[in-house]
Amino acid sequence: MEEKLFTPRENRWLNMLGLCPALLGCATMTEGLVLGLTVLLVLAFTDAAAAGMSRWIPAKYRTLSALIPATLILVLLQFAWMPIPEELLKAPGFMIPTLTIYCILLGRTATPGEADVEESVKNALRTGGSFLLVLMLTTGLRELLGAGTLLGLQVLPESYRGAALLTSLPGGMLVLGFVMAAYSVVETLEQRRRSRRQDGQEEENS
Amino acid sequence: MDKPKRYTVTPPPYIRSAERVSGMMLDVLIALTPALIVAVIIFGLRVLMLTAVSVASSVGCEWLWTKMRRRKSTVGDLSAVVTGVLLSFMLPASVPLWLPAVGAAFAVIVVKELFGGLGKNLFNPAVGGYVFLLLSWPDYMTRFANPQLLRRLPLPVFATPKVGYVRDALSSVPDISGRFVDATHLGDGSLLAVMQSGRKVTWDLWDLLTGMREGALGETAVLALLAGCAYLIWRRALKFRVTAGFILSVAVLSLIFPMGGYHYADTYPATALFGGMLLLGAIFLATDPVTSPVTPGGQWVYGIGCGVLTELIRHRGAFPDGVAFAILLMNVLTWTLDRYLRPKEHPKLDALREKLGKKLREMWQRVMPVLGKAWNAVRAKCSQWIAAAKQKLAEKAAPKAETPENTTESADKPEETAEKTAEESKKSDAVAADASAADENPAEGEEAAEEPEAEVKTGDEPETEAAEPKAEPGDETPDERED
Repeated sequence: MEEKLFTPRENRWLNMLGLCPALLGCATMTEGLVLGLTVLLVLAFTDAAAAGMSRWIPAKYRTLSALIPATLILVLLQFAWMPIPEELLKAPGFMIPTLTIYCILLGRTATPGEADVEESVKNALRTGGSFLLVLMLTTGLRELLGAGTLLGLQVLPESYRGAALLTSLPGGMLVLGFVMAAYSVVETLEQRRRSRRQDGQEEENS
Repeated sequence: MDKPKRYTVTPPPYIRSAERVSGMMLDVLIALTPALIVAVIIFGLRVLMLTAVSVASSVGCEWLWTKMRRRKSTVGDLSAVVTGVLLSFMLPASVPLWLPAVGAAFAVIVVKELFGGLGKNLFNPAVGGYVFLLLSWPDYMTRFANPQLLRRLPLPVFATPKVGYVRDALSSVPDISGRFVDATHLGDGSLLAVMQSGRKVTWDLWDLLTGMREGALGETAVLALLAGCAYLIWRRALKFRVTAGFILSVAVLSLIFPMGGYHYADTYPATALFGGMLLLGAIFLATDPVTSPVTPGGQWVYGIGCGVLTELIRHRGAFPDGVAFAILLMNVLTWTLDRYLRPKEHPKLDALREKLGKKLREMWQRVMPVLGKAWNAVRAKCSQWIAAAKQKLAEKAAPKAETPENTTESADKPEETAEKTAEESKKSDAVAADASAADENPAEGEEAAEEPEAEVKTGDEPETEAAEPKAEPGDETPDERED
């Protein structure tokens, strides 16, 4: 079966791990973008490194050993991000390192060592990409409905009075719930369509 | 020989009857009408507009939802109407009209229908919608118009009053006499918020009862709500254990831990009971048939839990009133309470209860004559005191009758103080007598304490009557603390 980047069956949207702290840290789309990109980059590099090293590491310790490249990459990334304006980094701030390591160790890494480097990176990009997408969706919705802005720009008219609940943590949970519901609706429709197509093919075959 | 049958005890429903959901909901609606009428009288026609928008939105959302899901329409069961009315009752009268529409939509779709519709919802829809609005637009939801000032500048029926309508608009509007209305007279928060802030403000009990205070449009009319409660009790449509547990626990806790220090000691239980959303919550919100327990034990625990949480949030929470939050929190426990507090048969416990009841009755019969004696003694003593006081008064009044009027007026004061000291000593006697007589019977003690007052009133001169009302509040509080 060919793998698309975001096929419903293969992606990990509904992997809730790591999403709650992410929601706590990100109330605006900018923050979501920063955190999502961080996770994407760290995942990709970590998976590549872990897959590369896996030859010399016993299977038992592979997940744990992924911690070392992850930490290294985080430190490097933080140095790399020095020139980025501080406001961008301030909000998720100190959360970034802890969060990403967390996510990785809690199962967002592709099982390192079992696949070759290329596979691992693909997998990591897929996982990180879907994480980024979910984060962008939830934070975007929250910012739009909660404050009437997107990425800090005024989108809705000034007279719009946003719901303060949505910019707080419980609102994040609420929006996440809606996103998950929407996702499950999309998935159901997709499956239905697929099964219909399969039926059609079977009929044609017979 | 057949074995004894084992029955499993489950919560209701067991009985089918002609009673329908719409009938229950209609009862609730009827019980809510007096409060709505009083709200219209106090806050103006905008109340009707808000209620109409809220009901239209909730019914519309329910209809749309059932249409979308291609289910049979459930609009006819009137539950959406009740949700709409209850939600609008929790709003300040000055909120913009779109607010109840959004709140009712949230209440019906998110809080009720997404959980599976009526009967499966975990939270009370109206309370859920209210909390959503409160957390989302706290500036609209925590400013209340002052009923007294609404007489001068009524709320517009259709247009949106400005945020902080009361403070901003009225402070710059000259009143009839041309002066500017003093902004400090305008309510910016509810009564509880003011109490929480520790400012010293006093409220008239009558104003609290008739709803002439800042507050949400349906929560202020205490007497009307109580009338609704009486109707529901008469119709047997009220989970009275929930209501009683809720109100009693708040009353007891507020007596033990008064809010805002002892500034409010004189009005305290009244402000705690009638100052917030308590009555609306205890009568109409916490007793929602779906989201409150059905077992008697569960209902007691649920009601008391609501009361305890309410007081806790009022004292320690970020918001002045905790009724809505308390109800939502206890809603979560409903199924658990129903499950673990099923009525069971306890032969030993029942026997014990019967025995205890018998003992209590015997004790009561033994105590009654003693109490009667004590009461008589107190009365005799009181009449002695009164006679002595009268004599003193007469003696003092006699020489003063000759002197000019000015001096008699100035000389009234020591007499009053003498009266007061006499009464206080009487009071202490009465209290001591009560304490010695019986601890089991607080009601009797109150009667004994009230009796001498009545006598003082009947057999006294106008001067002492003037002094009487001053002493009354002081008289009553120590008794309550004794209890």
